[in-house]
Amino acid sequence: MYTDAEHRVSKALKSIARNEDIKEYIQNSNELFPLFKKAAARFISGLSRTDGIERIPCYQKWDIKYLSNVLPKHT
Amino acid sequence: MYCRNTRDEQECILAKNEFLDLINEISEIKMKSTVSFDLSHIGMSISEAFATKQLKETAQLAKQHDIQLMISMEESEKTDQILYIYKALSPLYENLGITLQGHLLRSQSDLQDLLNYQEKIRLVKGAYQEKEGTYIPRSVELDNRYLDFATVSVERNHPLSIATHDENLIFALKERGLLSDHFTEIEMLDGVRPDLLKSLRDENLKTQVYVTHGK
Repeated sequence: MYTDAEHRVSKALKSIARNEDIKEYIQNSNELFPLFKKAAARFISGLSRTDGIERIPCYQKWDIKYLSNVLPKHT
Repeated sequence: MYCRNTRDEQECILAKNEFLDLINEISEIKMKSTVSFDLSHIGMSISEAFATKQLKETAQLAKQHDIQLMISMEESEKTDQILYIYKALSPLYENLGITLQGHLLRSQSDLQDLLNYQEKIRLVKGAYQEKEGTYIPRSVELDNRYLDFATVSVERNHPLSIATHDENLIFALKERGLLSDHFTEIEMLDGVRPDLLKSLRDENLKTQVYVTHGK
């Protein structure tokens, strides 16, 4: 389970993700963009197709199906 | 790297080719799989005809390999266009599914319409920022709406993917017995709640992990 603090951070990040103005500001910030990109990496399995496919065995052993997507730039 | 909403035909063809390569690679792994994509990624911003042509090629290859395709939803101004393309191709490709955003007001009637098609509906809450008065913000009202949509779909024995990480909502769906339906699966993004996804699978519920890659 997540702590209250983690829930608050998660809520703040979701709010930012839904605001196009803030998103644009972050994308143009040399300080914030690398920071957020690093945070986003937790939810993106990798940069390449191979990175994504390499995740399959982790779930295959649990008999969980696989849904894959290629994220367009700056999603 | 490819962009959404691109009007560059070559870029759209490259994006489609990336999906074809992905389908070919996944097909080598003996695992039930789905590939999800945005229509604006493969040409919908150029024309419906071009996007349809690209989608046909992708759906045909996926069909050959017994892989499902899931059309994602985008900003609501594109919903009509996305549904139009989906409905045109749905009778030709039984491996083609469609996403529905619970937070849009219009989704109530879209759901009724989509239940007339046989393919899977992927139910999400919706994440795009929309115009005031066209959507329901994150709230108990939205959660109840999500539950209602899932209930209607399950009652119709319609294939349904529950795409949410909202633990309370998942438990509510489970309490209503909506997750044990043979046609229903739970989907979560890789890395968000693997513990929860595994525990649901351990309960013998159908589960799917959403793995994304890109720059």
